[in-house]
Amino acid sequence: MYALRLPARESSLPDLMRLAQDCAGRAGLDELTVQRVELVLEEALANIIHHAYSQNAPAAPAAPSAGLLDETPHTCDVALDCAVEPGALTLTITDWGPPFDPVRPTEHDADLAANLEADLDSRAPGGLGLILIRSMSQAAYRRERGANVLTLRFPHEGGDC
Amino acid sequence: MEFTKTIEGAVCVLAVMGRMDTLTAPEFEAQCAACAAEGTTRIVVDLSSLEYISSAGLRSILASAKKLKAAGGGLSFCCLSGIVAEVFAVSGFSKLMPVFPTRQDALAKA
Repeated sequence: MYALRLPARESSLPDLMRLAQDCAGRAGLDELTVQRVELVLEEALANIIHHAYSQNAPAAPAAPSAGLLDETPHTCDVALDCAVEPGALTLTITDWGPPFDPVRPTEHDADLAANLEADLDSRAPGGLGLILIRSMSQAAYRRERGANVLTLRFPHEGGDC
Repeated sequence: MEFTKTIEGAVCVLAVMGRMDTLTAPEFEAQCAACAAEGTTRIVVDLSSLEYISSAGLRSILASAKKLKAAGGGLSFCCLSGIVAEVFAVSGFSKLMPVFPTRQDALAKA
C-alpha cells in the first residue's frame, strides 16, 4: 500500500498525481488505462479541493453533539491510498468534508442525463467531472467515521472486474 | 499547451498540442476569441496532438462554441484519438459538436 495525506489544495495535486502514476506503472496498466487514472483522479481531487471544505459544500446533517468532537478533525486534508495488484489499481480517496457521494445517482442526475442530450444552446457546463469519474472507473462511495471515502478501481483494459 | 493557427479561406484551423487542463484551458478560449476578433468565427480544431483533456478543458470548449455560434460561426473538431476521443464520447461532446476523422473532412463541412 502506497499512501499520502496532504492539505486539500492545488499545490498538493502534483505529488498525489505522481504517486498514482507510479502505482499505475507498478500495476502494469496499459497506456489508455493510465490516462484514465490520471483524468479520474484529477477530477475527484479537484472536486475535493474546490468544494469539500468550502462554504458552498452541501450542508452536513446536524451531527449529534456527542459525536461532533470525534468526527470533526480540525484539518482540511485529502488522503490517497493506492492498492497495486497485477493488472489492476485501486485508489482510495478520503476527505473529511460534509457528506458527498459522487457515485450514487441523485435527483441532480436527471439534469445531468438531460444535459448529455441537450443541444449547444441549452447545454450547461456543470457535472462533467462526475460523468468522467463514473464512466472511466469502477467507482464506489462510503461514509465512514465522518469521512467521505471514494474507491476507484482501474482494471487493465480487457481485464476482469 | 501550444497552438498552430492557419487560415484556410474563411476558416481558422487551430491545431492544439499538449494538455488541456485547469491550468491551460483558458488559453484555448483566448485563441478562439482572437480568431473571432480577427473576423474568423468558423474554427476547425485539430486535436491529433492533444495528449490529455479534463473537464476544465471541456468547459472551455463549450464556452467557446457558444460564443462562436452566437457570433454566426462555430467550432468543429478533427483527428481525435485515445483518451481525448473517449472523453468526447462519454461527455456527449461528440454529439454536441461536429467531429470529423480528418482535417479535410472538417474543412469541407466548416
